[in-house]
Amino acid sequence: MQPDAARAALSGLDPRAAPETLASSRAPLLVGVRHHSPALAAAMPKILAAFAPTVVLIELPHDLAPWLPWLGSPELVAPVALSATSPDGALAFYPFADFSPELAAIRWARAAGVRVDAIDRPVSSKPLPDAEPGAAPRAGRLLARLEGGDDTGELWDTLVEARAPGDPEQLRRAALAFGWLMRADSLHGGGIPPEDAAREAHMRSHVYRALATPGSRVCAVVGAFHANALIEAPIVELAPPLIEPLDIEAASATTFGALVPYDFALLDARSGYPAGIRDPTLMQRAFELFSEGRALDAVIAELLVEIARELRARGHVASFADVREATRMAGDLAAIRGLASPGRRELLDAIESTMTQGEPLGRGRIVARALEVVLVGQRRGRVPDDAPRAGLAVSVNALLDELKLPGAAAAASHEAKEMTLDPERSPLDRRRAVALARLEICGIPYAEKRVRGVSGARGDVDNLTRRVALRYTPETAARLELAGIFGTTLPAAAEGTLRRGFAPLVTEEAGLARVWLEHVEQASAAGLPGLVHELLDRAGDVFLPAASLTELARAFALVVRIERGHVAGLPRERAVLRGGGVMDDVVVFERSLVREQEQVLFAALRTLEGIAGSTDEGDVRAFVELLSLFERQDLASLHHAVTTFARAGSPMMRGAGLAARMLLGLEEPARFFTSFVSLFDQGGDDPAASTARTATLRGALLVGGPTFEAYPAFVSEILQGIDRLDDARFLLRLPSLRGGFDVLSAADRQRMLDVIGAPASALELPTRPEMLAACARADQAGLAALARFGLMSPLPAKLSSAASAEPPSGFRADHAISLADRLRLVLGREPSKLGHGSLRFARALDELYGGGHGEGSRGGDGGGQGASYPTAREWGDELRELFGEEVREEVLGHAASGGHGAALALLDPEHVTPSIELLEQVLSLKGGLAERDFDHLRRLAKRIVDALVRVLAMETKAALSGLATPRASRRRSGPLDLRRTILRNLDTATVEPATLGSDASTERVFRISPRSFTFRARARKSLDWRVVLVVDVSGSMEASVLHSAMMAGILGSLPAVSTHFLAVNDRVTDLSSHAADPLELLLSVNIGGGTRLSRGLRYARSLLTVPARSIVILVSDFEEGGSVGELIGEVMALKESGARLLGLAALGEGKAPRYHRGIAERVVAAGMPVAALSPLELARWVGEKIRGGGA
Amino acid sequence: MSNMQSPPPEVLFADELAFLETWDAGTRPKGFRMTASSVVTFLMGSRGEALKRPKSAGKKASGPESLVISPKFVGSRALVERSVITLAGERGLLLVGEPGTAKSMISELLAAAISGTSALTVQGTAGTTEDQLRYGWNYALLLAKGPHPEAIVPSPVLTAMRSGRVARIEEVTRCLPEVQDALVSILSDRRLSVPELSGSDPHIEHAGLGFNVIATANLRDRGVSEMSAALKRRFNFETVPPIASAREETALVKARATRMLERAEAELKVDDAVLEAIVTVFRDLRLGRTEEGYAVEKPSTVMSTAEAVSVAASIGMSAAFLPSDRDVLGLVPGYLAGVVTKDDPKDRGRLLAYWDGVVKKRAEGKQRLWQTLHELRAQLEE
Repeated sequence: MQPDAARAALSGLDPRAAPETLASSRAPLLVGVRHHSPALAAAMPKILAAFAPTVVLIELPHDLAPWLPWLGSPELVAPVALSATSPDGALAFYPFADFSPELAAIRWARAAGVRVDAIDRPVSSKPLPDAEPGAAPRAGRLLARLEGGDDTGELWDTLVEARAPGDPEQLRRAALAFGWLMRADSLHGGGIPPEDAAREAHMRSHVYRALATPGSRVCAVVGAFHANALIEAPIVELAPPLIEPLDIEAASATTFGALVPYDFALLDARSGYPAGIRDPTLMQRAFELFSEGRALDAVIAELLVEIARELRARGHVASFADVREATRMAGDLAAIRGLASPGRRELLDAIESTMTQGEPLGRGRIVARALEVVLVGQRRGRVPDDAPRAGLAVSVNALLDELKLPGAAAAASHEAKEMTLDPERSPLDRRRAVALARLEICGIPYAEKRVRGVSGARGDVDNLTRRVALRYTPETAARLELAGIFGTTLPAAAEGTLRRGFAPLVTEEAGLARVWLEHVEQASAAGLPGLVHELLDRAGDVFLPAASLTELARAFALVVRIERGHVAGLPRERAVLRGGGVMDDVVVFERSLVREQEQVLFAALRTLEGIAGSTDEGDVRAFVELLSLFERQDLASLHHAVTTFARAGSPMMRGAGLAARMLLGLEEPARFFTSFVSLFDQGGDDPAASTARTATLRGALLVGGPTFEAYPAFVSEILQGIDRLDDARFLLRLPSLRGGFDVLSAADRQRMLDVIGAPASALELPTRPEMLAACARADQAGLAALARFGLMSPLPAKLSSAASAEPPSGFRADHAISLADRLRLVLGREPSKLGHGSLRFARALDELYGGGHGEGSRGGDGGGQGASYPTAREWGDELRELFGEEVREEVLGHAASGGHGAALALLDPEHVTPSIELLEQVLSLKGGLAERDFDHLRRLAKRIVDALVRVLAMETKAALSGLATPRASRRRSGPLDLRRTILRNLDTATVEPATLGSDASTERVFRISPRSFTFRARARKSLDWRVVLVVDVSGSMEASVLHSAMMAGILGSLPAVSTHFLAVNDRVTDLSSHAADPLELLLSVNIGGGTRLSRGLRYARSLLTVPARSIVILVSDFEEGGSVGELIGEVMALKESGARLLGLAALGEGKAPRYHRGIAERVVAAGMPVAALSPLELARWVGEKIRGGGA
Repeated sequence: MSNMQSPPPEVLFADELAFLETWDAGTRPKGFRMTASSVVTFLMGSRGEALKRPKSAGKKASGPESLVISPKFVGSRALVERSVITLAGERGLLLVGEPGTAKSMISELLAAAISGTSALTVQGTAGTTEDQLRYGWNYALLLAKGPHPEAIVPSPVLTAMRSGRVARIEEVTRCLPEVQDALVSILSDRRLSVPELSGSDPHIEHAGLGFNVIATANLRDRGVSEMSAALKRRFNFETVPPIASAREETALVKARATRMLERAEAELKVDDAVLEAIVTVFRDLRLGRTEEGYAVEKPSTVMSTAEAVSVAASIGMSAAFLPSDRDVLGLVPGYLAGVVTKDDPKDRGRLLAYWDGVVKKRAEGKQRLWQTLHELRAQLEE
């Protein structure tokens, strides 16, 4: 039919008046189907029995015909699938369930002893080019509009399924009408795609050949869309040539295609499989009902009850009333839509209205999961025992032979074969690498990676060669059989495994970004371009919104590697493949990834906001990478983010932001270096200030470090800055400076020293040491004399020993350590050139920092070369002597947190300065200590905790005390307080004749004209509040955990509040019994492990007896390790119960939190506000809630 | 009618309502003035076809013999079908969605079609009291006569109950939770007892057939009170999505902005291309995904169609009353920044990121209008 004709035919169309020619054809009898249709599958035996064909033709590739006997076998339990691989490597997949009309036809034919044949174009024939761009796909847009449905599936349901169970002939006609409409619409829209046309020509030829047999009665069971094409043209025009020559025997069943058991989860469209359908269990039930001649509404109520039960099993409310209302709605909707009985669409509509409560993300998701369990189901198929086994093992063995890798024949030998692969240079190795990646994805134990040497900081992804050990074991063979369900060739099986792994996660959303990234990495390594395409297409949905900055940086690197053709599985050009035998299994990847790169970069730009408070150097490194990528672009949002860091970030991010502003040209280098160097001599010397100083330096150096040397301002500023400090202050600051510069690699520090050191050494007098010594001694004597007369402050005591032991190499009194030595000390390089006195300082600090890391850390003249101290005590003494008590505690604290257990023993409980940081360090060690040390630690921790709690309690208790008193109110907020109103207005009373009622004439009434009314305000009970602190103790949250524990202690001491403390990582630990004792609490908490916030919240929910007087506070960075959907569900459930909720991204004095932005936003949307609060602010919030301010 | 600024649907579409009431003789849900499918037709329109009155309607029906029903709601038919079916049942209908998604319009249309009036309305605010949902007292009468049924001042809800019609509650989540809960017993028992009158004989107000409640709520806005679980279970929820097609949204923005300017007796002198650009930006930021498929960060502000209308109208006003040589396009970024950054200072960063990513991209694509917009970036910065 020409498009014009179709258009004409469509103009006055009545869809229900199906073209009579199609329906009345008897040569052949046409049965137009959809591949999954309970209505037609149930009607099929009746249709066929009524027609009594001599041959049944099925729309199935002709070369799969040998499988028909097994498909019809009574031993076969559906669902099963026939799979085969087409020459272009694509997987062809034909699933069959009880509700597949084709399977029903095959079964009927087998039972009736009628011949069956497969008539579709063979899988093994050459693929045709895709349809012209612009040609409309086969979608019934026009019809959808006519019928008001949203897609073709719904149109089919309305036109065909809703008639079941009815007269089979009517169903057949309806289905043919549907197909005719689709075809007309398709012609209208742009014609039949070439692939379809070729298939139809093929089918037509088969049909005509079958008809040519005298006395034959032919029935063709084909897709409704194709039914038209089988009877349109006269036989002569389309005879034999269209059947492509094919030797079926040669394509033997064992090597070509496979019949595999299938299950409903795979069959469901959401599993990511091609040819999927929705809701197999619903279809199965419908098929069973239709076969018995009953309508679908019989099971609607039943399914709804199951869904409600499933919801309740998940801890959510779903009552009988919901089920009743949903059942009614489904029925009434069917009526308003003119259907005989409700179908899938009405069922889903009814559920959406009655159960999801307008919350597509929260409750909707939970309902969706329950639906999936009930409607998808678990049913699994079985293949007849005598059917040939899956072809995967066969094809893999052939492949291994071809690649000259040990195969099944080598299974006997126990020796692993080791080989080095060089995919960049050898095409054979490239193919091997790809094959091994695919085997790994399928979970088939075969290759073992051998790690060689030391891998770089970025892992071994960029290594050119890799070494593997290969071994074919019995387990390899067994796993191959199992993996056969996913496909008969290795690429198909790998792709199937990956797809199956990914699909359920999309609904779960557990760490989706990471999973997506891993899948892209695996799919590209395994050369699965189709899957890579699809995953990249979905980046915008699943990856970009949820990815962290680190993940984005990783994704960017991956995309760039693919773009450059550095990924073994995805070569960019054919040339690479030449000369390596058959290359069909490695496909050239032609997609340009420029757009993906951009998308990742923009996404990265957006995540910057979330890391302002980061203390993780990984974030800064990712940020640096981002900066370099955006180098030449002038981006206001990047400037905004960077400025935010510099102004309000954590100390480290502040440093990073300042340096980035300079690199981006937002700040004059000179000004930046001035402020950079001012860090050296400004700020306090307490532990918190020095930790912050170190962090800021580290942040700035991470961003700009090695490039700073290029700026002249840097050299002069550093020299001036270091020179400005007198010796005492320099030594006080030295540990924090050294800690800051330590972030650079040893080689970088050496280069920096070379650059800055050049002018510095010029300052050293080129005089002989003896001369200098004499001068210094004279100087010192003079100074001492001056001091004696009170004319000058004496030399710092700590320095005296150093100064007197050896002549100082500088020449200023309070600068006994020369500028060059100072630089060496700060940078931790060239200890051999240090003056002897300075060497002691260097050695004391080297004990802490060692030789540094990265390039140049091994060998050379670096720090950490000297012998270490015999005992920690000697080191501690030396530190005290050199730097003084405060610095000693600080350095030891650092050492302790770095795992230097002995250093901890040296910390003195009496003198230690209490700080959260120190407590953090102390507590982080509790696991690895001996009993004796533990006692010391306990005393240390107790002192710190007591001091901190005392301070905190002073601040917060005021905010927690005081209660509101309920009383009568003049606000119109409740019922009228009649008594009080009358009392207040008695002065307006008058006595008048009654005007109302029957005997108005005689009676007199007392009347009040109130001027003001009094109402009863609702009183609030303020007693017995319950506060549940759910605290994430998964590693990254230490400071918040400490604050939480102390807050728990303070809240626990209030009379009207009962406090619970739940520590959550992979498990939930109820530490409520310790809630009043912060120290005990902290010692019981084991920081580390994964994060399962939903479990903590679920447990919290079980603790609530009166939700309206309960507060649940979740302290977490929201990096949920489990299902995000579940977390959101729990938040909603808590919200629904009426409890007051608060999420704390951080609890502490620092303002900027570090948290997973994506998840936190969804938690907020679910009803839990998220903030970062200081303990005082938290106390105020809790106080307000308890006093009733937050209704 | 002519002197009303905004006539209610029962006035505006009186002829269509009258026609539909007699057009379909099928069974109507109890208390409905027309069949359920006629209600759907009233909202969705008759697809341009003229509906013909069946012969069976007889002579008693007046009005035209055939009528084209105009479409009034641009959106999913299934949504309307579900809403109508819900109202025929035992639960209330709660329409939720972002501001500017025509929730109130749907509720008015439904009430007008089902009960013939959309006037039985309670506007929910933080100051709404229980009286407004249940009943109040005529105090003078109360004091004079004591508790007596005549002293009851019925709320719109009680009036709807008595007459078997549909009551509407706008912005139900703005009422305080305890006030909202007054609806629980009304919706579940379909009756209202008046305890003050229970002295001799319990006084109970029963809901007539056809009574139901349509509430609208905006679950994302600031200052809303959470609904109690008990109340939620008495409602079927329908989420009204923003307009799906950009073309329809642009047309709607244009029409509304034109109307707003007409009230000020001015003419909308803004290019369609500029309107399209405004709508595009709103849609991109609302959906978190651009036309081209880039993901962008959603600002915390609600980027509703209503806001787009107000931006378009403001620009139109500027062009009309403060004419200058400047291109109206130059005003766009400033107004956008005003809309986007009113809640959360972080939103400015998000808007800037949008400018750096998407707008820049479009500018590079040689689209002149976007080039201009990109050059105006400075307006967005503080």
